[in-house]
Amino acid sequence: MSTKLHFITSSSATSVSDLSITGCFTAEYDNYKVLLDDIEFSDGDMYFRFMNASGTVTSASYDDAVLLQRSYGGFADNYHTGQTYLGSIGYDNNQQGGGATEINVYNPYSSSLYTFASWSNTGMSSIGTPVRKGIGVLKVAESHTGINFVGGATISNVNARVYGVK
Amino acid sequence: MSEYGYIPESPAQSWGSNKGIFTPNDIYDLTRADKYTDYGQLDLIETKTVSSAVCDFTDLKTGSYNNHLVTFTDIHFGSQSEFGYKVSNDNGASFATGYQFANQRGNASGSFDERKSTSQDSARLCGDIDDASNSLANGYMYLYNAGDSQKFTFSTSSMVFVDNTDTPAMEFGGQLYPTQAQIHQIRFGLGTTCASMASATISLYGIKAY
Repeated sequence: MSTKLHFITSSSATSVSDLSITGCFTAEYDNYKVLLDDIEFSDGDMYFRFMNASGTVTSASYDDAVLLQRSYGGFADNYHTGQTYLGSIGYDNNQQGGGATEINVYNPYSSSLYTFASWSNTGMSSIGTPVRKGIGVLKVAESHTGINFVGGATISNVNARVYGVK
Repeated sequence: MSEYGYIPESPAQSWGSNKGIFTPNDIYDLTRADKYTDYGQLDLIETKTVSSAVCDFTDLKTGSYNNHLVTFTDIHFGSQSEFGYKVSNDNGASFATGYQFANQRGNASGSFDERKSTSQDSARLCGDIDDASNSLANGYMYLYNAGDSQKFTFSTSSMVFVDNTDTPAMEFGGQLYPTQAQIHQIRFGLGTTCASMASATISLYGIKAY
């Protein structure tokens, strides 16, 4: 069978603090692609977390490294250990769609492996686009069945689609 | 009766070679078994191979796809320059200027640089490549919201190439066309004017959503 994407589900929301997509990671696929084509804030960053059978994993077990590439200034190395989320995966203070992000998620459903992610984002600010390339790991070997997007401020609009990678 | 219950009994089924009459349950079961021909949610719209020309995609099929994947194969130039794209929201009568981008470039000689602009005539994907036979660029980009007249158009990109000093290099980043518009066409080419390339093969895919 040829390599392709299998659409699994999509979800969108307006004026929320976070958005959960549950049951999107299953035993059917090892790896997933998540596309966000709407990330709007009045002024804020988007982050994400994974979900297990008990809900959103909020333990301080997320490590990440992000290259922030500013079209309007110097680039910056952003990195963290022991966070309660991954990201930023996008910033907006201008709306008009706010930004777009591709996230690749590896092994989320495995109960014996860490869950890995990488992402590429083009964001929006009134002084020029901030671009991000990042990687992150949830250092808990347990099965994750969903993804939770959480804003650093109220999320004006968000739209996400989840695909299985065959 | 076959495993899937369709008629005729027990036909050999495989992806790309299905036989018989299928019920919805048959299709569901075959799809889960990777035996049903379904061209899926990453749909090839068009592949174009050009020589001494720009590469224009004149139908993004934005009625069916809001987001796209573009793959680049062996982009080659007749003279040293950068590679990028421009979009048209007037059916190709003109191609817009005023793009923002921020790319990280690095090469095998240890040179790493920031490439960025808040107002360039094209959206940069990589540079520099030239007319040397091995100086080629390959890679991909995702294009977002081209079909949405209420949103700006975004892209993220990743390229590998041999530059004009014969050094392997990478460039990845993001680009923005900061205008609310539905995009009708996209042009790939040499330099900030998106001029003719020596040769290139570029494929445009639609990413299906429901």
